[in-house]
Amino acid sequence: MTKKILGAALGECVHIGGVTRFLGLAQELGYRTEFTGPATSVRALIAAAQEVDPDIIGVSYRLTPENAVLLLRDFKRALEEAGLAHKRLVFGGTPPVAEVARQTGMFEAVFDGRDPPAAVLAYLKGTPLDGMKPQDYPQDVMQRIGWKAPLPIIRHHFGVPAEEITPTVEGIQQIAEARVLDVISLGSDQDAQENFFHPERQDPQAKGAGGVPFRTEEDLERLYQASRRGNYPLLRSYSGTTDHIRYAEVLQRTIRNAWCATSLFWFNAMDGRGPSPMEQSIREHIELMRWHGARNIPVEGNEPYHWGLRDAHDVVVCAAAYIYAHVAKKAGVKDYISPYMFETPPHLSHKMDLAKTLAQIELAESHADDAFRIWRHARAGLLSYPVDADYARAQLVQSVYVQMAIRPAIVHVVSYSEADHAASAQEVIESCKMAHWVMRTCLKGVPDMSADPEVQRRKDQLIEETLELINAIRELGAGRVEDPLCDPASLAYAIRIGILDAPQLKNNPYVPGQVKTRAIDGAIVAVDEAGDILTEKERIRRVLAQAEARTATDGASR
Amino acid sequence: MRDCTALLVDIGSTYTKVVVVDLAAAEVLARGKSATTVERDVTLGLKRALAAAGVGLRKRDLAGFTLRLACSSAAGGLSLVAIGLVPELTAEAARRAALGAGAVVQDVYSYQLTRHEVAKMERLQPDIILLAGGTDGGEATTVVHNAVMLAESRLRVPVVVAGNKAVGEQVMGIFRQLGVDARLTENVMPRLNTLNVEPIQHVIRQVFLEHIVAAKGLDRAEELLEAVAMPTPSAVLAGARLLADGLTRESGWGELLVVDVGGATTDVHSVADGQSTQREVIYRGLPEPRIKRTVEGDLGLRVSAPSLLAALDQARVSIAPVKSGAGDRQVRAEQLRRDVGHLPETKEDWALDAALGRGAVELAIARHAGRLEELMTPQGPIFIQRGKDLSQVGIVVGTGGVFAHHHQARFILQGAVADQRDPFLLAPRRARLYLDRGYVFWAAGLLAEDEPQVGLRLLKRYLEASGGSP
Repeated sequence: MTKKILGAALGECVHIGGVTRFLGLAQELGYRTEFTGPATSVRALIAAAQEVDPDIIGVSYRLTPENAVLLLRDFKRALEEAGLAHKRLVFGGTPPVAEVARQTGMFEAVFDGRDPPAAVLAYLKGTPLDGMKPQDYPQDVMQRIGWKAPLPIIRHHFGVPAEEITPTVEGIQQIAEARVLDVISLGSDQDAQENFFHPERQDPQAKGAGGVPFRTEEDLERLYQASRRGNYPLLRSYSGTTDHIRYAEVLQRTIRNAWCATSLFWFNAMDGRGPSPMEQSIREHIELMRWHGARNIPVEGNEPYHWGLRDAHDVVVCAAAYIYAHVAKKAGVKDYISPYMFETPPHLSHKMDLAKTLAQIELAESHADDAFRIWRHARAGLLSYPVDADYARAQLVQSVYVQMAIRPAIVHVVSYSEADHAASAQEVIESCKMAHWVMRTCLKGVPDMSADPEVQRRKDQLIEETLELINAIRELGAGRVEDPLCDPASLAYAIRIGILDAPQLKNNPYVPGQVKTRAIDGAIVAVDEAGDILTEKERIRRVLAQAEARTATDGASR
Repeated sequence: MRDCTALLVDIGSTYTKVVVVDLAAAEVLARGKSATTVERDVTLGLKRALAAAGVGLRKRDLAGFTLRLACSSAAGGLSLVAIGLVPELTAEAARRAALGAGAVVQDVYSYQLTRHEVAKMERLQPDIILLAGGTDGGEATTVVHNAVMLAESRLRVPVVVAGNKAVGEQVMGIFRQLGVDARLTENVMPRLNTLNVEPIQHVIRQVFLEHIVAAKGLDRAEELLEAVAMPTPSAVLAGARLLADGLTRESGWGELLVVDVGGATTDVHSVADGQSTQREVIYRGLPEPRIKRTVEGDLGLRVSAPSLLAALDQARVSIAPVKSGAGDRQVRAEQLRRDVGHLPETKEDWALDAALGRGAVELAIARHAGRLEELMTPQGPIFIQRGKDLSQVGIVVGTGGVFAHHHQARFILQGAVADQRDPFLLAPRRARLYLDRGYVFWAAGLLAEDEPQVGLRLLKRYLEASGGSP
């Protein structure tokens, strides 16, 4: 049976922001809510409670504590006289008034605005944070999403670049105690990812460069144990760039890796972050997806934004989103975490950025069904952050605001310090709180930016052009393999001839790097030598013509 | 009579009034009046009133009218007892719904009924009981308890059930089991502070047509007329709504107030949203219906003259002829109470009627309109509004005998306009005043369903402008 909450701003208090937000959250969670309005007398609140017969009465009062003492005494007496003393009561107010409310002992929960982000939600879901036991904190990412809904869960990278892991261990403890972050993504150094099983290849000079230098399973276990406090955040880490499966097993065994992030076209010889050549790398990534899919571990597609980071035009980014979802589904992934990095590249306009993201969503989610669930994961653009901390804070919050337009299940917060240095634990906490404030504000309702006609037009155009590109790849392997989009050889060939290409891959031996792109009206488009827009159809025609010419030349020279 | 005419009748508690209307020209062709005879045989008075209007009584004479409709407030009107849970919430909502249906609300009960209260109700013998209580999905035990109490009582009158829908069927089952005629309708307050009066008013009118007309002996009038279609206050409300809102093809006059001062009561009808017209005002209490009727049972010029005097004293309203000679006033009021048919003859009689009428209007408006109160908070003063803000309503219409006949009708009606003495009263600040000299309000209301355009035009044509407020 639907539970009912009656809310009121009591006495002369006319501040209704807190109580209406509380009731709004309750409604989102399926409660029936009634609100008496501002400045509700005790008598009127009792009358309303008699008619509504609520399960919970929510009282807000934000004036002076001295008045609160008298008012709450009257309220208690009135409840008793009306036979309503058994009702569950919850209070919200300023810290000094909340303290008065706590002292009355009437309220099963008291919120004073300094509460951890999930505190109100947890209360409404029947598991108040105060009374939660370690096992009550969901340790499965999907359950955590459900527990936190309608707010997205928050993820943040953390790993202190140092010669040992202790600073990171202490930082994780601090973050967990702050109860502001749901998933800590360990930011590891390069040797942790590439040479975990090969100490002989590790470079002592580079230890801790760029992240936490864990080297043993004991290190990982220590990092995990550090998180066993506060709100018991989930832990996860990058995938290995060698010994993929073995490394995945270690992560599962030690830190209960919340999900696996793997790529399709990256973390290999092309970007220098792994030793494998392209086709082999694709096989390894798919194998890693399959391994996690078979174990019902979610997989994140660490793919499309890598193209954006290298100034690829928007169609290529969208195609990468489609291809990854397609491959992940075929590889048996059940829960796909689909990442959408905004402001990548940073010269995108918000409008065109949102259009590109919506196009990616539509393309990726065309694969979704009961057996292949897709969870939207939004994050700010790595390259969008200014060095100045004040500007960077503004960048963080405005980015999260736009991200909320896609109703993400996960928000990957990027600390405001990121352009200057890897975030300290304190900076992670501050950044998460800033993001949380934006998210809860958005829950009150924001204009639907996705309904903008320009956004919709660009989205439709991107989808149409992306399907041209996808069809071109399908044509490459047609008649040779059943599904070229899942065929490493076809995909590697698509890279090699430049169907998937980016300007910043110029001079890369694995890809032509010939495509030219420009920001026009806020969107990133492919252009010809004269700087004029190339349609995707035309670009592909030229790419295929050049590939054919090269093949002919190669044949002749042979 | 000729085709394309309507015969409209108000079977009032004292007089039966007849108006004949040319539907094509929207013109009153004839009027007639005679004492109501519902105690013996309602048709006696009706026939005399028809004759006074020159209407033939033969079947073919009557058959010539396109419409033959009546309203009635005779035999105590449509008497009703309202029951809710909390006095200021569902009980008040039920009371307002009943008033808006033109009922005479005899009493209002709240919380779980006691045997004593049920016995009191049995003595009142209402025509209808309106049973509410609990929001939808809210408190449920009280309305069930009250249904059992009513079903087991000696009361055998129709019950309109308008409470918590979660137990609607359960309540109906209780009534069915004990043979009570009960009608289930929507909750009068489905959510906290949400008023839902129209479905209830619709059912009350159905009950009126199916049961009350016959029970009061008014069905005999239907030998001469098509139907006694509604209680008189409903007809006045329908007229007020028509005049305010107009029609798709013809605009109305906008938000307005209608004041009806009678011998026993003073009714006020407002057709206005009543939202606050000022900033920084917080509304408190049950929302008001846009079409609102209040009935002041203690404010009348004849039967209620003594209680009107007492109310004026209590409110410290002093009007010259009423002010002097306290003993003499009481005597005069008593005389008026006993002689309900008294018509003023002397200069003093007229002056007393004017003073009482003005006082009745002032008090009735003060009770009908909303009020602001100042509340000091740590952030400074704020204003709380209770009731409707009618300060911007631009039209006030006076209807009833005193406005039809009194030469100081304008002075009496000016009592509806707020003055400087009570700045927190949300009564009209500036308004144009109109007098219903020709008794067309109820007649226009009777036409509101079948010939609304004629009804609207009658009002526009026959309401007499009496200038603006000072």
